Amino acid sequence: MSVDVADALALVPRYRLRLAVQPPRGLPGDHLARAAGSSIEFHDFRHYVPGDDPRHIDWAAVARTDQLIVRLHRAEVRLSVEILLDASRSLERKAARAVQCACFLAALARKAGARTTVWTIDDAATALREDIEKRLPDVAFEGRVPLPACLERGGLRLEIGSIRIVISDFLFPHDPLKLQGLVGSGAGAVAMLQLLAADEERPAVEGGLRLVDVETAEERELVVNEEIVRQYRERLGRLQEGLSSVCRATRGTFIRLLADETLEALCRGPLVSGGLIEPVGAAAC
Amino acid sequence: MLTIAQPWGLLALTAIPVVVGLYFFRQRFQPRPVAGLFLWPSAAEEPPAGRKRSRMEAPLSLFLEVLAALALATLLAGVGWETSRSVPHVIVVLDHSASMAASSDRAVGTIEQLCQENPSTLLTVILSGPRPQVIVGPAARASEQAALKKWKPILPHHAFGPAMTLATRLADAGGDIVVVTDDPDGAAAELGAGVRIRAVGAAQGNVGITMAERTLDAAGSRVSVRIANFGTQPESRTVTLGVATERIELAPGSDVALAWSVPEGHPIVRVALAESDTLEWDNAAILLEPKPRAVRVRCTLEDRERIEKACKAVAPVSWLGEADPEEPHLGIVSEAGEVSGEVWQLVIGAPVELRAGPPLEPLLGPYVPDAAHPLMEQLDFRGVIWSGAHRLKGDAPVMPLLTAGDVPLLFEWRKGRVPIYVMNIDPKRSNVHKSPAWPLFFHNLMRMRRDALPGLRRWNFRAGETVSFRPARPSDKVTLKGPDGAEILSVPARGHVEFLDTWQPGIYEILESDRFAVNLLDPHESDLRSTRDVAPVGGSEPAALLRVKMRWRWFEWLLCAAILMLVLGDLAVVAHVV
Repeated sequence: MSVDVADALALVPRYRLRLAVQPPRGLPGDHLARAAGSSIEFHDFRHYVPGDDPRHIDWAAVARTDQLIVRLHRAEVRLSVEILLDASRSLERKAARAVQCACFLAALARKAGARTTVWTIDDAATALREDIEKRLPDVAFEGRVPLPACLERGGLRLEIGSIRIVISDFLFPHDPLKLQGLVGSGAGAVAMLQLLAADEERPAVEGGLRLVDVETAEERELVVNEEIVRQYRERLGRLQEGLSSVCRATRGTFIRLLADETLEALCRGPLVSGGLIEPVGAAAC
Repeated sequence: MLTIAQPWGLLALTAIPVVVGLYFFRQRFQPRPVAGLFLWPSAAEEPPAGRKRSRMEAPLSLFLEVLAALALATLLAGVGWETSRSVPHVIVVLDHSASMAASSDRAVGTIEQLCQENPSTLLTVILSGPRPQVIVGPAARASEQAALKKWKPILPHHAFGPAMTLATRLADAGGDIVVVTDDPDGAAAELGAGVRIRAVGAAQGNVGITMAERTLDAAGSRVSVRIANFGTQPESRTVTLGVATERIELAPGSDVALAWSVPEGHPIVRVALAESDTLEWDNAAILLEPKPRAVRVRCTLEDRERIEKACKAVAPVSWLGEADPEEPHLGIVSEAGEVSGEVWQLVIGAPVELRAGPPLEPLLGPYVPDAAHPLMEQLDFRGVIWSGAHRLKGDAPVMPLLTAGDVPLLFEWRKGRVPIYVMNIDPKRSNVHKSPAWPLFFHNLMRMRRDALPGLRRWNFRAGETVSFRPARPSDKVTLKGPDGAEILSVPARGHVEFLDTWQPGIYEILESDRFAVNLLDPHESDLRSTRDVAPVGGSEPAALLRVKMRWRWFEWLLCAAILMLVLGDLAVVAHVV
């Protein structure tokens, strides 16, 4: 597999991650957490309970209300970004773009100061935290177990509060709600990037074909005519709509990517419009 | 019971695995790896294709094509279903003689009545004659009698023997023989008791031509006819010969002979009785003009007068002079070879190369002829003083025809391809020319030579006579067309051809050569006085049963089914692909 990682890294200065809409949880760091913490940014009031830091008692409020009121502040946490890269056989022909995306997003995450982990998930899950750009191109896309099954095995030890970016084609039978539960449980945010080849997004009318599932080796002979293509696209649309709905409901992000487009085009297009990244200049504005 | 007419046809069943193999090969599409097979419509939603070594889903086209192959194999193998049942079988020997023309409707009605006695009766109708002919059946359904409607009796008087032999053979499997004739007495006398006879005749009067000839005479030809009255009442008839007519009166049971001289230039004359009566076929006769068949003779003997005198009664003979350029048919010589070419020769005097000694003393007999040889027919040499004979060498290649003791007096010298007859005699010292055998000998010789000439010997025949024709060259192909234009069977014999099937009256054409006429002249058939319609002879018990195998063949619908299935199979494939 030939992956131009350099091209991906060259785009890093021009973009940055748009991190989670809701405050993330995590280790103390540079990002405000959902929970109250000790940063200077006001978050809320509550009554004092024993154990609270007396430094946080709002004496002015005590004076006004004659009760011990504690001033709560958002905690400052260190952001963790975990990229889950589906390394199953179905992504083999799209592996170059998938690896590019993973490298690019990992680089953006590190640039944002996040603790970055790339999980390559074939039949087992492998965490890459160091030398990600060097090691990712060597990943073999040979997994035969669908992503949900891998997640259910529990091989992944995802961090609580991490931002999780899943790169997959999601072309396996699944319940989107359950999948979101597996990926997004305890996550600070979830982004699902569906990477499809052009002929997966819009198959051509090609007549008789013996379709072979690259993961299950199951075969089906079909005469691919317009009606069959229509039915296929209808089913794909329902799949994408399911994922998109679940992501919207959980304030996540679902973005469709075409593997046949360049990474730069993907950045300018769906990744930016999907709200996963933003140009550096635009943020300044 | 299932039957197979052509077991080798079952080899066509090998087409079935071939079709199945082709089907799999055809249905194996190009493989295409996909990521999400579950997104593609399942088999239930789309007519599927076959899979290699896996269950085929609704293989309609394969099913139809296999059925088509099966149907074709069945067709080729001649598979059929055979059943058997016992049905009454009537074998009718139908008198095909010309007198039945007066009773043909009654004969057909009688046969129909035989079938109506039991509707399931199977019928076989054999026409009597020297060569019996099955015109209905064998064992046909009673409804299949179309040939019977066209039946027209044309034969002269003949025996029932050949037809009964055929009928008996057919009856061996089951069936009753019924003879339908207008001459029950004759049939009963010939066939004996026990044969069912249905008589359909009716005694009637009839006037007919019983004889017609046309012979050569000095003016051209002479036509002679004999007309007989086979009735019980006096009859008068107008006889026509071309434009000539003659009125005759005929007493009951009498006949009248008439003769006309016909000049040359009338190749065909038709003699007819103007008034019609019971039988039409004996009211007319066609006669062709005979042609002279003169034997050209060249005689090199000094004393030829005796021979010419003997031949005067043997007409026609054409004597050739030495200067005549024509090749003779016969040479009468004193030494073989005096006449050039392959010519029949009569050598008077023993050839020198055959002699074994000096002339013998005159012989007085007894003379022993080879009576079977046509040259010696009716020859009697008693009283002849045979002088000048020589003994022959022991190894002489001769076939004696007349001998006295051990001396061949008349023999055939087998020297070449053509006959050379030798008379071992010195005619000047013999009285053989005064014997009655002398002109008869030349008569026989000229007749033999005339018969060996190319062409027909006669031009007018009675129906059924064997007609002999000698082509100019033995290798020539001879084709004879009958009066109806159909080609007549010819049998090659030694140097000539015999036409056997000359039963139909009319003019026969020997293509590119000659023609002859056949007339149905038979007094026995013209005489209807003895024909009778009597009660059935031999009883009217139910017909014997014939075990019939009914074979059901399905050619037509099998072929249609095969074609239909092939078309539907192709349509299914086309619809599937499109």
